[in-house]
Amino acid sequence: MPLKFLSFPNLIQEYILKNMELCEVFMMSLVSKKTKYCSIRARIKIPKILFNIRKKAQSIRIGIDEKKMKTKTIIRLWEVRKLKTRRAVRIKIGDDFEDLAKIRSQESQTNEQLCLIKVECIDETLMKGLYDHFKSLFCESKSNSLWMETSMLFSIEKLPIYENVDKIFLTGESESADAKDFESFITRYPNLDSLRIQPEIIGELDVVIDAQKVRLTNAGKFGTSLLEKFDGRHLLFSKWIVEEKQLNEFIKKWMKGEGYHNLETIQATLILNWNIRMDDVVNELETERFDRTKRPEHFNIDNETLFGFYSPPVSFAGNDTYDVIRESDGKRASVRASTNSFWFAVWNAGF
Amino acid sequence: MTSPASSSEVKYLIESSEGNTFDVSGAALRQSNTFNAMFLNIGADGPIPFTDYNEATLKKVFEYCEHSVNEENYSGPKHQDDLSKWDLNFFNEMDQKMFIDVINASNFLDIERLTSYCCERIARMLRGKNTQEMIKVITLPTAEELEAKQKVEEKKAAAAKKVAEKAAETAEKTETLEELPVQQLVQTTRNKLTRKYLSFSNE
Repeated sequence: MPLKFLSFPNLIQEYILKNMELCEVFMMSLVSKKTKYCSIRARIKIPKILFNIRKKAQSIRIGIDEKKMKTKTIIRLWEVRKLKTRRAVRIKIGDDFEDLAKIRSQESQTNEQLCLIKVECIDETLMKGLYDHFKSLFCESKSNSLWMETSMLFSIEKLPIYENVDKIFLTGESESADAKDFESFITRYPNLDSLRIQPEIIGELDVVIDAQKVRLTNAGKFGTSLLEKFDGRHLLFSKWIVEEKQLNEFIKKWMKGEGYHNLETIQATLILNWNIRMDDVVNELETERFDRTKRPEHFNIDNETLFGFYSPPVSFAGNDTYDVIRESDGKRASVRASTNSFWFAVWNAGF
Repeated sequence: MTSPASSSEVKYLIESSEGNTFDVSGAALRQSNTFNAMFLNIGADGPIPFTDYNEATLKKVFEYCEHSVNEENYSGPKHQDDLSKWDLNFFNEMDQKMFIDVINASNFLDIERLTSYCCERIARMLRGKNTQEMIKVITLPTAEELEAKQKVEEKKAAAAKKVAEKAAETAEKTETLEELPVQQLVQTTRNKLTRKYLSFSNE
């Protein structure tokens, strides 16, 4: 006797769907219009989503262990040069995309099921359609992540805006991007919790970055431009090119309360052979030396703040350390520069 | 035989679609939320009619309930891998028809544990399948079948339209025919009267 899924009562259909892997629910929704509506009706909740957007391959993953940054792929979209028509089916995703594709369930290296979709061309219609389809099926989490290849910045206007994204990772360490392209990308995602940028960004920034924490792997001169427009809490720079005068300006601005009201830490490594003369950094600024009665020696920065990287407590007690006070509220910050590194940390009242 | 007092020794009579009755313990029946809502507090005079389901299906469902009487309270779905040997035998014994009937009966009786296990079993049938294989498992019409069905429906609609048009045409004609005898009658009567009048006047 055939197993007629659609003849089951709605509740049973929902129970069945809720017992399925998310990738299978997604595949069921591609089978027919009716199964799509069944899947929508089941209102399946999913944990944090990670959209991994690359030119030739994309994936939608869900977070299964946030602390260990462990994710599980649900859908993988692959662009192939020539799609073999054997076993290929015509699929309709979203309102506008309709084309031949190969869809199958695949077991990942960690023995988890995922839905693999092979197509000849991943274009904006497919990307938008896939996102709309996915969004209609599952109850999304309020905190999603977006990993995007730098090369995608050139066609950013054509890409869908992924909702509830609060973490962005722009990948491509050996690549570079124009500051204007980066701006038009970042303005689409306000209120970010974290922003991690691997490529080198070339040019000046005109918009305020309100992400709570930012990490630049190739900070270069752009790091200084970003610092000027930064309104968040933590900055983590690598390969930064900065001059003493610029740091002096930054500290002056902080002391006068003209900006950086939320800033808590800056940790930076400079490009090779680039040293900072601390005396020039604090030139003409009212500073204090380390006083054990006023603050502790070490400053702890947690892993989460540092994008999962561990950092030992930073010592602010040596000759290369100065304390500065903010005029408006009397908050104390410590500045330290040593060979190739720069630190700035604002002490909380209770430390 | 049936009473509001719900002790495990109390037996209830269940009536199936064939009109047959059989005993089920109160403890087993209490796993059915439908039963709890309908009969537990008020009791039932005579057999409880679950006449949408046949005896074999109901017996199978209550066999499961009787078995799980002593298991701990249901707390969410259990993975199939964690099922006991008895549970596995219970499911493996059934053919597909019985399995579907059991799901439907279990859903009607609102027996969470059984419904959940059955649904997980179906979900397992779909594991690792691609969309075409899924269509086969859940017996969905393929795109070609849908197209053929649509063509048949279109043909049927066209035929129905033709029939409706013909009927309308016939009705129009009948209307004219129905009108004719009346007019003819009036005319004939008028002619007759005229002739009579003329004959009178001639006399």
